[in-house]
Amino acid sequence: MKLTEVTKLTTGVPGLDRLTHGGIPEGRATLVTGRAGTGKSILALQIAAHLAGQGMQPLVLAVEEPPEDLAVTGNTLGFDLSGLIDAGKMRISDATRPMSGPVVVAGEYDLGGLLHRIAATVKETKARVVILDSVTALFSPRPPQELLRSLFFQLVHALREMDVTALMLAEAEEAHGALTTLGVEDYVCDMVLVLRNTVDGERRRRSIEINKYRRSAHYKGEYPCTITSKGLAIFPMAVGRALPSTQDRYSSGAPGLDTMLAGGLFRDSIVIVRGPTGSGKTILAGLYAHAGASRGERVVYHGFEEPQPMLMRNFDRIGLPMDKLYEKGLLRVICRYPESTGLEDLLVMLRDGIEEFQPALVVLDSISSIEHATSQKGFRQFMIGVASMLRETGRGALLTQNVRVGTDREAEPPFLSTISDAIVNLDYEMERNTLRRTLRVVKMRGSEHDVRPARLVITRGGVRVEPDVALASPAEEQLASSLSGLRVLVVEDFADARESLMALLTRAGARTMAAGSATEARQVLAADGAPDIIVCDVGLADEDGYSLLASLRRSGGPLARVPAVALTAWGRPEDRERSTAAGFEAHLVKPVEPAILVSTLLGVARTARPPDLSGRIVGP
Amino acid sequence: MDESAAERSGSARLVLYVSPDSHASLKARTNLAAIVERYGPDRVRFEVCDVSREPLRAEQDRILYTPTLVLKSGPPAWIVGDLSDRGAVAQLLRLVGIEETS
Repeated sequence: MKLTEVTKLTTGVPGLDRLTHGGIPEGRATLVTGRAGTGKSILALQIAAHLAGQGMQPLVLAVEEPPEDLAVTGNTLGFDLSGLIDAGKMRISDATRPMSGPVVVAGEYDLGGLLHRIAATVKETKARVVILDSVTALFSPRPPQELLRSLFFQLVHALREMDVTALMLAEAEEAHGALTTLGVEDYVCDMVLVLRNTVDGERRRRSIEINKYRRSAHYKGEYPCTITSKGLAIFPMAVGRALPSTQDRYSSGAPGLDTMLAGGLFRDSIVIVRGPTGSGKTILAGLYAHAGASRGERVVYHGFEEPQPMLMRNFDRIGLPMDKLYEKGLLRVICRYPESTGLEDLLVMLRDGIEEFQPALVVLDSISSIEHATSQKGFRQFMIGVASMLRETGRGALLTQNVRVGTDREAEPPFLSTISDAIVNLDYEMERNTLRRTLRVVKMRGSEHDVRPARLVITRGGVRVEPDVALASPAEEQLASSLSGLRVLVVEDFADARESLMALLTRAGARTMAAGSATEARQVLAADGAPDIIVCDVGLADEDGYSLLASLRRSGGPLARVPAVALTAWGRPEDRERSTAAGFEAHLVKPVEPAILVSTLLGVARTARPPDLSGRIVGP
Repeated sequence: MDESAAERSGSARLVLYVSPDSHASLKARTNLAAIVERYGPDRVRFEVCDVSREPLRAEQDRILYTPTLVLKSGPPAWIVGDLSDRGAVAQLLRLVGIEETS
C-alpha cells in the first residue's frame, strides 16, 4: 500500500461517504466515539452489512453485548445480519467476558488471546475488515494508563499487520468533552468519527463530526444525522458554491418577477422569499409550484403552517387551482407541523420524498415555522441539511421565510444567505388605507437582476410584478446624477446589504468605497483619505457604528468633519439621540427608500452637520 | 453450593492460556509451575494452551487476554495476568476446597 495515498472503503451509510470523500481508510484504524445511545453500534453494523455485501467478510467482535443481541439490533434495522452470517458473508464473534465467576487481575498481561483469535478467523474467513464493539468494554476494568496505552497500541499494530481495516467503537463521557473515556484511542487511529445525541430544548438532535482524518480531505463540523428504520442517515454536503451548476432558466411563476430576474430562476437554484405575514409569500410559492407542475415537472410542496385542505382552499380562492395538477400526480402537497415532527424526521421525510417522488422543484413554506420549533443551532443544522440534500440531488427550491414588517436585514442569519442563490424580499405598507405590497430582488447569484423595488399586485390567478412608478421612477430620474462627484464610504457588515447600497449610490452617480467592519473602515480611510460622506451601519460585528464615528469625530483631523449618516434597524427616540451624540448628521431606519437615502445624503453633503436632518426618519 | 466430583476428590484442573513471544505468558508459566509444585501434581493438574496453536479453544473459553488461567473443575473462575500474585491462585484453588499443605 502506498503511504501517501489513502485508499478507502465505502460505508454505504447515506451521506457518510460524501462527508469522508469516499469512506473509511483501508488497512487503517477508524475510531467511532460517542456517549451511550449515540448509535455507534448501529453505525458499525450498518457498515458491516454493507461491506459484507461487498465481499469484505467483516468480522465483528462483540465485546459489549452477546453476538445474538447485536444480530437482533442489525436485523431490526433491516441489515439482515443473520442472513449474511448464514450465507458466510460475515461473522460476529463472541468476545464478551464470561458472565459468571470472578475474573481476577494478577500481574501483567497482553491482548494475545484476542489477537490470535482474530488472526485465526481472519485467516479462515479471509476477513478484510475487523469491527470491535467496543474497545471501552475490552479494557474494563481499566488497566493503568501506561499499560492501557501499550495494549491499545499492540491492538492497532496487530490489526495493521494483518492488513485489515479496523473500525473501533469507544465510549465518551460527554458530548463535547474528551473524545473517549479511555483517552488513548485517537492517537493511533487514522480517522475519528464523533457521534452526538443531544437534547436541544425539548428536541433530540443527532449529529456526526469527523474529528480527524489523517491524510485525507473531509468535511469539517457537525452534520445532522438521524436513525431511521433503515439505519443511520447523514445530511452532509458543502453548502456554499460559486454559481448554480446550470445556466438553464425557468419561470418563477410570476411574469414580472422573471423580467426582474433577467429571464427567470436558474434551474437548480435555491430561492428564499422573505416577508412579513400577508406580504404574498405563499402566493409566490404557489405560483412557483403551479408553474413547475404546469410545465410537466414534479413539484413537492411542504406546508408547515396550515393543514392541507386549508392551503388548497386558499390557492383555490385566489384563482390558482391545484387540484388538476394534484390529480395528474405532478404536484404533491404535504402539510405537517414541525412541532409535531422531530427535525431529523422532517429531514428524513424530505429526503424520502425526493428519492421516491423525484420532484424537480421543492417548496418549503415556511422555514420560519422550523426556526420557531428549535434553537438557532438546531435551525442552522436543519437548513444546512436541507440545502445539502437539495444540492446533492440537484433540485430547485423555493423557501419562504417570515420576517417582521420593515424588517432589519441584519436579523437574517448569515448562513441563509450562504445557502441561497436568490433572495426576494416582500414587504407592504399602508398608503391612504390601501395595502401596497412591494417586492425587491435582493440577490441573484451569477446573474444580472433589477435591484429596484417593484410593486406586487395580487390579481385573480396570480400576481403582477411591476415597476413601482410611485416609488422608483421619480427617484430614478432624480437619482441619475444627483450624487455625482461625491465620494461615499459605505460601512456595512452584510455583503448583500452593502452591495445593494453601493449599487444604488453608483446609479446616483456617487463614487463608492466599501468597508465590512469598523476596522476595515479605518484602514480604507487611512489609505484613501476622507470621503465626502460616510454611510455607516450601526450594528457592526467588531465595534458598533456609534463608537466608530465618535472616535473619528474625536480624531481632530479631516475625518472629524466628514458628514455621516447612521443606518440602523432602530428608530426609537433614544436611538436617534445616540446617533446625534456620536456625531452622526442623520439617522435612517432600514429598510430605507432610495429616494430618501439620496435626498438625505444630498442634505448632509450640502450642510455641515445640520441637526434637523435627524428628523427625516423613515420606517417605523 | 453443590460440590462437584473434582472438589470431593480434592483435585483441581486448570488451563493456562498463553501466547508465544509474550513476556507475561512466560512468567505465568514459571509462576504456575512453582505454585503447583507446592500443592503436588495429584491435587492440582494444569495444562498450558498456546492460543496461537489453538485459537478455537481460546474462542470457546472466550479468552481475550494472555496469560489467563481458567479453572476447569468446579465453579467458573478466571485469573488474568502473570500470576506474580500467588495469593490469587491460592484463592482460586480455595474455591474448589484445595488449601496449601505446608
